[in-house]
Amino acid sequence: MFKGLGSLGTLTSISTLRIQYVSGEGRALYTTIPIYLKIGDTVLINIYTRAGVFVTSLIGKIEKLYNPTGNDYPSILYYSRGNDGILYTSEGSSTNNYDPSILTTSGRLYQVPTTVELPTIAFYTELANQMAWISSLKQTGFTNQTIINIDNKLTTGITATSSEIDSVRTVFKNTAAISPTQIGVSIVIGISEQNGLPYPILGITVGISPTGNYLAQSGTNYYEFKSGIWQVYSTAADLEAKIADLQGKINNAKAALAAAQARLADLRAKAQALGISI
Amino acid sequence: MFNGIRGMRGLRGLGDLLTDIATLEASLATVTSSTTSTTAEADRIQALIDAKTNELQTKLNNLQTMLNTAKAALTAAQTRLADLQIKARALGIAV
Repeated sequence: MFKGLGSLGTLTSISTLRIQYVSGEGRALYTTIPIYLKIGDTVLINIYTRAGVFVTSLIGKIEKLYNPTGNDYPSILYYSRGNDGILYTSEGSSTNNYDPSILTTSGRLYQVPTTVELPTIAFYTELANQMAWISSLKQTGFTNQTIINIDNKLTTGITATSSEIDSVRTVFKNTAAISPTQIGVSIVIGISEQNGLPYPILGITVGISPTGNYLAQSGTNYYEFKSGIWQVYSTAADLEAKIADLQGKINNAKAALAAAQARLADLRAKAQALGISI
Repeated sequence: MFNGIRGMRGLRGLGDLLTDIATLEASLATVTSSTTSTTAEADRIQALIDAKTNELQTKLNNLQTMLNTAKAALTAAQTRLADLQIKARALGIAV
């Protein structure tokens, strides 16, 4: 797993999770969207353009919290793949556009885990034009005002208040009872290409593949983080087809087992009739 | 509660699918293993039956041979007896 990370190139560093889509560069660099994670959480961030086109992925681990404005921002060490095909991780900064003012970590290299470390809480805030999602959030306890407040502030780059953050955090903490074998991180943030502001586009989810790699979902497709890059793993239809295929095989196998058992019973009767000790 | 949240719905769906697949694969492996062991046991008993059958067939063949030999001896004896009886009568010997 993460074999491709063994050949990390330029090491860069950020502390606050700030992501910005830079046109032409295809890398996520800056955002003011607060994402509430705790130290030790593994984080996957997929970046999409406003049009929903996948740009790149980051994956890493929350190492420390950075609190520049009184609000909790996770400090994250991450990996990303640049246009040059090199995987970057968070240490140092020289050739990228990371804001030096937010650097709090240097000289540290993300340790590739030997086992998959799963996050316990994933949080994602989606902005305007996602009213359906907001509506669903309201069903989980968000107030419309909270969403609007956060949306407005995020849209304008203003940090949400602590109380707003707490309300969101509480909801997610209360709904974090997800099997650790199923949950990964589900954060997706897109950046508006028009104004450069954060613009979450698409939710994406992460699980663990049978081979231990991260799986992410985008639409009806699943992707596996394999050999350092995201590759098509399967589609939901593929998985459903696989399930159907397995069910068919099981039915056939059960029929074969029943036949074998019948044959065995018959042979045992014959053997008994012949006086054979079995 | 996550069900209503975009992304989380998919996450649980993905997890469920993977869980289903893992469960089905385990079930298939179990059934296949049972079939294999059952078939092996049936083959073992079939081999015992085959051995017994061969043994009985050999005995049957031997008995058939002995029976044929005995029948031939009987026929020869009966032929000889008839011949001797004819000769005896020709000599005026009451038999």
